[in-house]
Amino acid sequence: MGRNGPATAGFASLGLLIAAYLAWTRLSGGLPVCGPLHGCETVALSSYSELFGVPVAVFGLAFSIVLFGLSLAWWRRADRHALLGLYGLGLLGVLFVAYLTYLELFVIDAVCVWCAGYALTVLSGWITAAVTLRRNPAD
Amino acid sequence: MPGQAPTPGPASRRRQRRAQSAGRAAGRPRTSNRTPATSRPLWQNPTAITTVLAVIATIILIIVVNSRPTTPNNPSVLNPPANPVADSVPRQGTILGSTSAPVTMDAWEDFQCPACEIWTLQWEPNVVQEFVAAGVVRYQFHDYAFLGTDHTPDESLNAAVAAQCASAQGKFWQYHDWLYANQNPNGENQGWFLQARLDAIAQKVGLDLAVFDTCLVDPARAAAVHTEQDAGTALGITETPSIFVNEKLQALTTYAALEATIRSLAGLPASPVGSSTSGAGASPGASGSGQP
Repeated sequence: MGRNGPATAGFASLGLLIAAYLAWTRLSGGLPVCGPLHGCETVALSSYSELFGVPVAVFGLAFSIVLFGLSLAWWRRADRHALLGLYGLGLLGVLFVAYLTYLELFVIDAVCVWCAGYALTVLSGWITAAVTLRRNPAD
Repeated sequence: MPGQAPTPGPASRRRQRRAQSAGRAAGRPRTSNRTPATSRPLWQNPTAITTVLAVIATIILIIVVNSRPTTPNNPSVLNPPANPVADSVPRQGTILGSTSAPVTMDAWEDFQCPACEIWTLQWEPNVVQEFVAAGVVRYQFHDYAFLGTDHTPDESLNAAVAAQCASAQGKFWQYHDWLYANQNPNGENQGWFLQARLDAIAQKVGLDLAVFDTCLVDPARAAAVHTEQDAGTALGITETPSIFVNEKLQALTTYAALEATIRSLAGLPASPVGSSTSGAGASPGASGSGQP
């Protein structure tokens, strides 16, 4: 549909699941399982995995919950402020995960597939929101 | 195709809406080819405002993140041991010194225990230098890995198994020194002795990483650590470090007292006043950190 509600809500819930898994492993004292692709442990053990004493994954989880709520508000109630929120917060998210990915590649020297997956959901959600915003101008 | 029926579908509705709104959408990117009826300045366009706010917020966020104080106790940094056991000291597995030494010492420790760190960094080097290297004391390390028992993963067990795996490659004492040099100053069970860091230490010590990693997950290793802990419990151990000299538990009040005990058991003359390396300011026995 023109509102792309299921798409933005879908990307947000996918990100929510990934962030929930990463936050859970972190808070239970474990390490994310990467399978044959290593790097998750290194990233999870790096000093960048926490901000102000709070695991980055927890910020990601909160961020995804907000995105999901905005997606619902736009999808079910056609609240254009929610769409603008999705677009604006999505842009912030895209820029920030780009920064985190830069840290992984050039500072931590390890890439975590979970983090990359999360970054993709943020990017996809933001692109969807941007396209939707263009197709649904203010009346 | 059934979806191509002449009834107005979503796409055509979208087109309608686009046509309706074209006049108000002047500020939107890539719409300038459509001539708007009324022009809205860019700074009044909600999308543009949102974009600018998001970019500014991200820049502020990244600046704040970058300027956060770096914590001195950073698990991704490995500190080399300040006072490692000298390579010249004879060793076999977890035993240091000559097997024919007249005095035996047994140290029961948990790599996560802060008092064991004090013992290892401040007292043990004196014992090694003064008695073990001289062939007077045979010093044996024992695992009493209990501080992570109620936690998953059990980092005390992890560290103990890792040290045993280093021992299998003949490098127990090097690994032991690195573990104590890199204990978490903020307490136990906070993710400091997980595989990535244990691997990093293994690389510093020069272990065969593939063999080491296989060993880390070998259940027989964990079982051996548990067996040794049970043996310690049978000896009456309830806290760490528990230091035995000739099978007698020591109080660890001052290094001078411990030194005197060892000297008398070894038949050596009492240490001349002041000659004892009394750098051991903190008492590892007093810390009582061993409570689980």
